[in-house]
Amino acid sequence: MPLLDWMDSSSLPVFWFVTAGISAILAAVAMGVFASKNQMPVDGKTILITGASEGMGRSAARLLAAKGANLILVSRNADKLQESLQQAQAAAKNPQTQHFHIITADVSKPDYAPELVAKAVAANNNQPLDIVWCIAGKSTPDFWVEAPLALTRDQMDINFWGSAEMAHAILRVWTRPDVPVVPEPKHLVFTSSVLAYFPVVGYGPYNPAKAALRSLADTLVQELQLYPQKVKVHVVYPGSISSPGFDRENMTKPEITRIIEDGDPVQTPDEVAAKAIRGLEQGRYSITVAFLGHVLRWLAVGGSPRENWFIDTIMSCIVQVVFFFALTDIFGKIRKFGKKNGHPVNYRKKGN
Amino acid sequence: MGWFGHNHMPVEGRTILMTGGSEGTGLCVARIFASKGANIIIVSRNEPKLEEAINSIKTTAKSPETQRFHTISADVAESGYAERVVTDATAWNNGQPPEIVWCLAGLSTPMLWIDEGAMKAARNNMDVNYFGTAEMSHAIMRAWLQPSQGAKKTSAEKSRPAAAKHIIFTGSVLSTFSLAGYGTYAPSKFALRALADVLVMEVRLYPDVPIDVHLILPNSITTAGYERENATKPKITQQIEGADKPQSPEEVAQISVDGLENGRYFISTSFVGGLMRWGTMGNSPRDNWFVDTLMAWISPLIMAFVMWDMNSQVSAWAKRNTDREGLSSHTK
Repeated sequence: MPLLDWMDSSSLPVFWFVTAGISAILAAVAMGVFASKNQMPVDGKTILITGASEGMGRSAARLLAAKGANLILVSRNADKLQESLQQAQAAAKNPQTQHFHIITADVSKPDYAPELVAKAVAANNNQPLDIVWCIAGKSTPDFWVEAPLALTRDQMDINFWGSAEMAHAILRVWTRPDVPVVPEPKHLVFTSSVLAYFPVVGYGPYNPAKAALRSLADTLVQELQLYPQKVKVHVVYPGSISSPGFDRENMTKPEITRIIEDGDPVQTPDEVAAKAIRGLEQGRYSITVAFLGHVLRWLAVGGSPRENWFIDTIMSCIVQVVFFFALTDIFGKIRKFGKKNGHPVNYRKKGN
Repeated sequence: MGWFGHNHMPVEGRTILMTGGSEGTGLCVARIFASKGANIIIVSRNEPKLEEAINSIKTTAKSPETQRFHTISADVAESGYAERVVTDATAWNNGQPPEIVWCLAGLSTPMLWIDEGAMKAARNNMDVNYFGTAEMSHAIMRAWLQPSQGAKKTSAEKSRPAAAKHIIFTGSVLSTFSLAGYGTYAPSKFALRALADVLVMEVRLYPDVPIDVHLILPNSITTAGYERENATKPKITQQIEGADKPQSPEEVAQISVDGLENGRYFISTSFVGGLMRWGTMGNSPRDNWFVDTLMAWISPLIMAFVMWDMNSQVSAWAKRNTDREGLSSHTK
């Protein structure tokens, strides 16, 4: 991505040094500011994970099992879920007492969630679920005009409605008037994308769903203050993850998108899951998992809750200036690409 | 940055299609364009309202003898509606797709997310506000960007620089900022903004057909739609919004058209709206790097107070209304 290229360019060493220095100091302050107490203990807790059959979901399951959690793994594919379950069981901290279940469901179907939640509670000895993490998601980038409309509906169904329906169902269960108020909060975790902060050419079908998810989460943080029961909301904002989903994503990704993303970190599912869990334990709301993610969040932090008022405010000022160069570069690249290649029909892969 | 005084969106003699054109801001916008000499196509579901609207629009026409007016009845929430509308509009417009398209059809059904009925309201808002616009942007851009269009031009036409086409989305301040009670609505407006941000990049991939993308970000507008919005709005939302002054559709329409003529991408219709937008610039195009950057610095400081105040109000409300009945203005 041009930002990282530009930062690397040797013609601006002083500016880069100063920015890096300030960031390092602020980051160090941030680490000290965050509570050292674990804000999301999972030992003995029951966690429902959608999208648990592969990629980030599978990694999260294993890592949480190693921390002592009971797991309910959800996806459409029972065979893949079984594999995830076995991996999680093998990693379990207390194999004698932890319990693991799989439930198949399609999160893109309207009203899938109440039944799923009921099944999950039944599997949990009729005890309420403690944590719900929506990881199920899919990315099919393509040019807006060239791709069929069905693509944007499909992306919205899985990426937004899949999580929105679960949020509605589980929050209704957790905040029912007869549910007692306990000191330990429940947790609802969404998985959005840095593209919610920073839309990029080629992601027209996908971006809107991830931006919508951010908006819903921001709203829920406010609304949950109206209910006596304690529920914490979190949103994870990964960049690219080297998962099976990423391989599928790259099959349709336009070249100009690749050019712009060039140099962006691609993290492994294990790394993203581990960083996400650490962010959850630190009690963070918006959890970015790479430096580029932090930068993009500062660029568009807007009305979302702050992680740390002081840092978020200062950094959002600094990145605005930095992005003057980065954005000029991005738009320039696109324009140049367009002039060189003409109408996308000339170069778009057949069958896309 | 726009040149001072240069009109980036001349409309005289050109054809403009507007969804949501039969009432509210859409109707005001259509009247303004008619008074500037444009041919007008308005789209909405209700045929009698469309008739009434088009008659009202005709009365403001600059050149009534030569300007043309057309209505198309369609439901923007219906999957596949837009292709049909664009075909109809193109046939009526002498085989040329309308050069300017403004999607104004929208509604707002605020409810607390946990209330029964929230999912249905959310899906309806998404279908009208996001998909209604997404589908139209897809259909009209396909019509504009057919590769064969270039071949039809004569050499004389090719040497004249083509006036840009325009596609205009109607977002909301809630495209940039979320508020308790709008969980059913704000996601659709965030989605719209994200799409606009992508399209403004993608249009640069089509060098032969200049297209300008715009995103209007109004606050509350005193229309019939606003009255319907207030029927479901939770009390806490009404309280937080308390100080905001809604604007008239005429005012919003005029500010928007001014912004379009100034060549702006983001068009906020009030200072507060601008503040919200400056807080979350992301990678959206800057209309003026200096101003947008300076305000992006200031906005987070202001937001600190705004959000503290808002969260205090919500907490205080929650304490006062400890029983479930008080949580929303209606409990179904």
